[in-house]
Amino acid sequence: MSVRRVLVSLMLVSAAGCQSFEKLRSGDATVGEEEVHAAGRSSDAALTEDLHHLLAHRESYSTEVVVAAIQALADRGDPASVGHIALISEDSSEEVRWHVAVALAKIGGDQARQVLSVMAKTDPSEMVREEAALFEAAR
Amino acid sequence: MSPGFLRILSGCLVLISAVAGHGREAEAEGLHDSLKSVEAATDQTGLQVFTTFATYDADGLLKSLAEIESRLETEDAQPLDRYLLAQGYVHLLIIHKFYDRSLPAEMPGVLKELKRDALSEKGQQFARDFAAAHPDHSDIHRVLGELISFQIQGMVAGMTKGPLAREAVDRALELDPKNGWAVFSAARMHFHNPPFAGGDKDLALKEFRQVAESLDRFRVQLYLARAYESREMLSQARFWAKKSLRTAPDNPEAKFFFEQLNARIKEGS
Repeated sequence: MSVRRVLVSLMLVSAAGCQSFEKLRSGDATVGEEEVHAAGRSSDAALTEDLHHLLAHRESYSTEVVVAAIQALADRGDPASVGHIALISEDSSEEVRWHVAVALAKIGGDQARQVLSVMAKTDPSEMVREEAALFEAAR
Repeated sequence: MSPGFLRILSGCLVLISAVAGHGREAEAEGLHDSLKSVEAATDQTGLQVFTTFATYDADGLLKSLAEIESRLETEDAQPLDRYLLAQGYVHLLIIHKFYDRSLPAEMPGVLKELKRDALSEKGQQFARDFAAAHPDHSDIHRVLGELISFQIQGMVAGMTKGPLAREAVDRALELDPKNGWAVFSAARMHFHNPPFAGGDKDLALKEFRQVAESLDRFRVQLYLARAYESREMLSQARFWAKKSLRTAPDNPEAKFFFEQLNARIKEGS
């Protein structure tokens, strides 16, 4: 890993530590994807609920913010998030569904496997089906 | 003060004012792909300027450019030929730069003797000729800006050529704020420039996303992947890198980036 990359990673981690996550906490739909992404690196446990809340109100948020929330939950790795992520496994956006597959594979567990198995067979996008099938293939 | 110093200083001022005045990204929703009209209007030889680019086939691209150039003053000439040639030189420069920087040992033989500066100048000549005949054609100014940007190598060239490239792209956006490739070019500048010269990676990311919503092109998707990688959002980078590979499955740069990114992700996991 290059020095630049290490420095950027350290900067992002320390920025996550200092961030207030004000917009994410208040459910503000104008929250930026970087703030949501940074929540994945924060040790503040309460943010998991805020991310679940964001997914439950998917229609209020842009695709990139929803994707950042899915990714943040995958980074936090809480098995309790699987159900919340699975709720948007049939989202109209291919980008969202692809990240659902990536996140479920990362968190793992029986429930995640079941959802991935369905996605691998039925998702309308070949790219999503492939990503969902990777989990099964890697086992 | 020496004339050289004054030139650099005025270049900086033009660049700063151009960047400071660039707040039009919000205006340009629902962008269009200006190159689609060229693809639809040209013949088989003209189309090869695009098909060869998808695979970075430098040999094929040079042949089609030579063929178009040879018909310029004949009755076979087509109205968009100079625009097509200028765009073709952009393609050639992209290919040259990729091999030069990332895979020098695999640089196609036909490109080895070619210098980017000379290719850029030649492309600019076609762009200027076309622009002289069609001054209100937005995309030819974008093409000109891109061609000039390939001459930026190092700080001094950045100070002299940067403002010129910026000026051309701004002109393209002025003429047509919904020109997707012009917004893409502005995003490239925000992505590559250092902050003191108007660089802004967050803004670039937003602009690339906006362009990717309307332009289903591997080059746009690849830049979006790069922008996400630069923000350490690697899963998003992987999605867009994969998208670019699906759009252009045999593109060496998309393949190269995807492999490098996967290695990074593996290294970090």
